[in-house]
Amino acid sequence: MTESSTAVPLDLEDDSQLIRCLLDQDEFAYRHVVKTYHSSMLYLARRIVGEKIADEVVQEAWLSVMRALPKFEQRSKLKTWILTIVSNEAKNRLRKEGRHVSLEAMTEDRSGMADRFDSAGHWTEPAALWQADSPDALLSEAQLSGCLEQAIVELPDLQAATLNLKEKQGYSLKEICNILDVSESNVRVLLHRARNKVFTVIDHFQMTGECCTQTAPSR
Amino acid sequence: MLNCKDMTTEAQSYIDDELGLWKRIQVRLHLFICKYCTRYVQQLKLTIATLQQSDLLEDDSLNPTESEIDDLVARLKQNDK
Repeated sequence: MTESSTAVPLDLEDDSQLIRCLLDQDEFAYRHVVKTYHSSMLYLARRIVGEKIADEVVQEAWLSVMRALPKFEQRSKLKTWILTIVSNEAKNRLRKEGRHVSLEAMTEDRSGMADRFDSAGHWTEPAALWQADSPDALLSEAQLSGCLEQAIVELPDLQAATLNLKEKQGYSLKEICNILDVSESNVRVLLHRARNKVFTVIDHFQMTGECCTQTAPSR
Repeated sequence: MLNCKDMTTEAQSYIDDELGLWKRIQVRLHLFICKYCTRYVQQLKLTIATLQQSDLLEDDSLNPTESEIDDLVARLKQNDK
C-alpha cells in the first residue's frame, strides 16, 4: 500500500495517473479526489434528492465509485463519470422512495420572457439598456447579488444543476446529457430557461432597482 | 426568418457556438436589423460571464472540512480492502 509520499510527483490533472494511484490506495490521491470533487457531488445530489438525504447519497456514490473504479474505461473524464454515478444514485434513491423527477416541472419557464413578445414574436417589452458593462460592475450592487442568489435558489432543481454544470464547471451539453441522463434538447431547454431567468432578474433590477423574485433576498 | 421571440433560444445556441452555418447566418441577419435583439444578446453574454466569474453557482459550505475528508478517506480505504 502506497502512502502520501509517492516517489514520482503525482500529476493531479492526469486522470490515468490519478486512477492508478487510487487503485494503489494512495492516501494523497484519495484526499485529492475527495477534496476536489466532493462539493460538486453534493451540489448535484442536493438538486436531485434534496438537502436532507444528499449527504447519504454522496457517501453511497463514493463507495460505488471506488467499487467500479477498476472497471472504469476512461471513455469520459473521471469527474464526469463520478458525477454520473452521483446522479444515478440520487435517481435510484428517488425511485426507492416512490418519488421521481418530473421533467415537466423542471423545464417550467419562470423567466417571464415569453410574455415580452406580441403574437408575431416581436418585442413588446425589450430589455432595458443596462448601466453596468462588466460582471464586477453588476455584482458591485450588493442588492442585485442578493436578488441573483435568491433567484438561483428558486430555480427548478434541474435548471440550477444544468446551469452549475455548464457555467461553473464548463461541461458541454453532451456531457451534461450523460450526467443527468436527460436528452440533449431537454438540457438545452433547462439551460436556456435558467439563463433567461437570471437575465430577467438583472434586467428588472436595472429598470427598477428592485428584485423581481417572489421572496426578498436573504441579505 | 427568425423573429425576436425565436432569438431568446437561438441566440443562446449562437453564443454557445452550437448552430450550423445556415442558422448562424439567420441569427446574424436578424441581429443586423434588430437593435433590441442585439442588446439582448450583448446583455445575455454579460449575464453568462457574471455566472461564470462569480460565486453565485457555488456553495462554500459544501466543501468538506479536514476531519470530514479524514473520515471519508478512511471509510473508502477500509471498504477497498
